[in-house]
Amino acid sequence: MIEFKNVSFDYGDDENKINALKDISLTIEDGEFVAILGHNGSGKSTLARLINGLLAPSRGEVSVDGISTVDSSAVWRIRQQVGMVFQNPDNQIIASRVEEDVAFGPENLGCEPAEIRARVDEALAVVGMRELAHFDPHLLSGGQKQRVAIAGALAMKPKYLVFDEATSMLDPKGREEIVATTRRLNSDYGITVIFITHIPEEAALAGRVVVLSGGTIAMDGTPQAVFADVDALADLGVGVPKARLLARGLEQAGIDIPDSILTVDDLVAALC
Amino acid sequence: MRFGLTIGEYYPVDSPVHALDPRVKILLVLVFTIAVFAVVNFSGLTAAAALIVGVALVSRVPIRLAVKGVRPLLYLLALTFIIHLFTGAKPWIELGPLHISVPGARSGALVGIRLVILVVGAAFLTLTSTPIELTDAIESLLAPLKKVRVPAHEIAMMMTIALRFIPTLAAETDKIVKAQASRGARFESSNPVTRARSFIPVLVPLFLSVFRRADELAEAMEARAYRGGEGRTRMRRLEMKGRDVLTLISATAVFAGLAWFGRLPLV
Repeated sequence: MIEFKNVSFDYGDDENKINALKDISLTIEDGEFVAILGHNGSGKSTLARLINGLLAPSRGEVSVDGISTVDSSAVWRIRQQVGMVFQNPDNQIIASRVEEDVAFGPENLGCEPAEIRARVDEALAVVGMRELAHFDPHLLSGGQKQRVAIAGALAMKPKYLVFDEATSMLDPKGREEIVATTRRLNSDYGITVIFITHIPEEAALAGRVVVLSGGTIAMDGTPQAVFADVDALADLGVGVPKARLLARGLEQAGIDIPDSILTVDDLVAALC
Repeated sequence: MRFGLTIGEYYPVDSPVHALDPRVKILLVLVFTIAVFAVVNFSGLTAAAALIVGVALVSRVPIRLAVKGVRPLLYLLALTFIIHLFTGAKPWIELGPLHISVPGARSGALVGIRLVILVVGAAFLTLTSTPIELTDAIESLLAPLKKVRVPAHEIAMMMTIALRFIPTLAAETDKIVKAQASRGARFESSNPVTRARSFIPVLVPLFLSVFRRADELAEAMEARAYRGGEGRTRMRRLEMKGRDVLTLISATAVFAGLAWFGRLPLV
């Protein structure tokens, strides 16, 4: 369980302080797939970095399984428990061979060589990159690089995975690969996923959507509940999935259509 | 399969030289260098050249790839030779206004050939070992020096990251050069000053980007529980086999023989 208790975070010194997060309280249960949705400057990346102790809260407390992230003796344990995939695929791959990079995390944890080998092979198999284990990462596509980054996090055997806008620099195909992988990790491997994004379509696939705006939680609920209020979301600057917009347009035009539609698949099912 | 940029152009074939422990190869290059510097006659240099040809045959690497490394040294070689030619001792040969030293010609030729042999010999290290193998080998060889505060792990990590980012930054430089050229930068100008100045708008964005990448990479490394070499293990471990030890000992003996032969009063 990840818990934020009245967490605030300020950037900069006292004179030009930027208040990125304001008194956030949030609980993420084990096994959840939570999307954190917000536009630029909403504080979502700050929130991501608070979970694994890359940043320490200015006020309040963040805890992972009951251990505070500011507890310096537990920070490595927390980083092992909370894997993280960042935005830029190029700037998080350390080694010039895929399997070497995936081995980086378990090597840092001090695992035995045979154990590292086993973890690397398994992690690469989970993301479907086993055949490319000997490749140089710069020859891979963006989506493949992000899958290597996911494998790198998985090799640490984490309980939680945080994706910090991990799809925003990818083409549509790469984006699809990553979204599909994250859903599989959640459903088949029971990993709790915290998926930070500014894309409503991606958030709609989560079990729970938390909308962040101006450093506070503006909405928190199922995608159906959150995306029901199209106008409110537009005010928060995040928008709703296009399928939802289209469904609402059809509804206003007098066509009988359920208001739970969030994805193109839903739309196809309802119309055809 | 191997593509893209690598330092020293690894030549991927299977051979006993390729299979040799990279630490042995690095040590042997050092021993070979010392031996060649000890050689003071042409017979010894010929023998050293013959040894290199032997290594080339065993490693199945075309020798011209190793010789290619000499090309950037040609000016240096010519300059060294000329300096020796005019600054040697007696007897002198007078060619009009030029005074040429006979022993100078000999020592100039010795130094030049010695340099060529060293460069060609050392090239086989990078031609037969991948950059990853070399990085591991350097970390392993430097490990005993940790006691005297040589940052062995940090040096290896820097090499790893440098190797990882060379192709990325090469691609980025190319992109910036094209972007600036399309905005009128004069990279092709015949005036060297204009040409040099046109690279400033390439270097500034490149450096900014490198710093941004370094920041993000540091964060990603921290997120993966990186805390320096302390307590860190490795997936691959270099293993010195009987064959490697044997090669190290016998080749060292051969190089010692080379040094001895090279100091005999021969031509």
